[in-house]
Amino acid sequence: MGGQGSSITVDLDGTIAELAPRVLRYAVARLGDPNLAEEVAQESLAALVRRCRNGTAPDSAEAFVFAVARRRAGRAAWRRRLWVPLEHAFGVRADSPTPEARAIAQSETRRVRAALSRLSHRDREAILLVAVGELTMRDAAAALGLSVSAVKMRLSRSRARLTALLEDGHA
Amino acid sequence: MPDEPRPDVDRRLRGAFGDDPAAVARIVEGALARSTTAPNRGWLRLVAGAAAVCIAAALVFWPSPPATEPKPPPTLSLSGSFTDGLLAVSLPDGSTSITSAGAREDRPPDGYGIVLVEGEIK
Repeated sequence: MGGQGSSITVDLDGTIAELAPRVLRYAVARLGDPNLAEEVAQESLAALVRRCRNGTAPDSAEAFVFAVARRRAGRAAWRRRLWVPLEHAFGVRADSPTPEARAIAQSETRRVRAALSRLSHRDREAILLVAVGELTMRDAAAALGLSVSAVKMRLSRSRARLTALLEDGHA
Repeated sequence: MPDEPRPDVDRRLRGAFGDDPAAVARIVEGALARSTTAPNRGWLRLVAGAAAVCIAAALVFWPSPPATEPKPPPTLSLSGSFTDGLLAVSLPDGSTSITSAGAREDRPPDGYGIVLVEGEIK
């Protein structure tokens, strides 16, 4: 998965195709909104393509894309917090949830999201990057700006907590 | 998947946010197409231009303080009395200054006249 390095310049299309579902999954898990997540994933991958075409390919495509996705998802979440109350006030989207939004609000996804929401922000970021985004520890550490051992510690903590939450059905 | 001591938890997380092939296809297509054009930073250029115009206008039209005529030093008239070689002058702060410059013999012992005093006004 990780450590493709400069090989991305050789097969950019393949790298994008391989990263797209993972970034999308990560963004959906972060934002809970498939449309917003699609936008974030597309912008993150477009940033990678621009870098590669400018001749400044990053050392790790995965770490780069997920670091961009992380920042953009954070910004998107803030924007949504600001705009959603206005949209409700003006009746936009109020009565027309998409099928995807309805599906997300149900069953397994809802349980997992509820369990994730009970983790600390830092632990949640670590497990989303590694488990959902399928990053290696090294790439996740690079994307988070942390040491590998710090990521390992957060992962261990969040996995243990998630296991307990999901098994006990508290989520 | 390396570093996955709890594969069941990780798998469950991945499964909860399942893939959407149509969305993935759109993302791939959009990422490759969008990257051919530079990101739209028109608003940034607009704001920077407006700021530059404002700064230039401020530098040109900033009202400089009007030139003021230098004020003449304040004049002060004092009155006092000269008696027996002692000069008693009432000062503006209400005090009285009494000085005795060595009286010369040819001066009258008392009376009124003009006395030139040199010194600082405090």
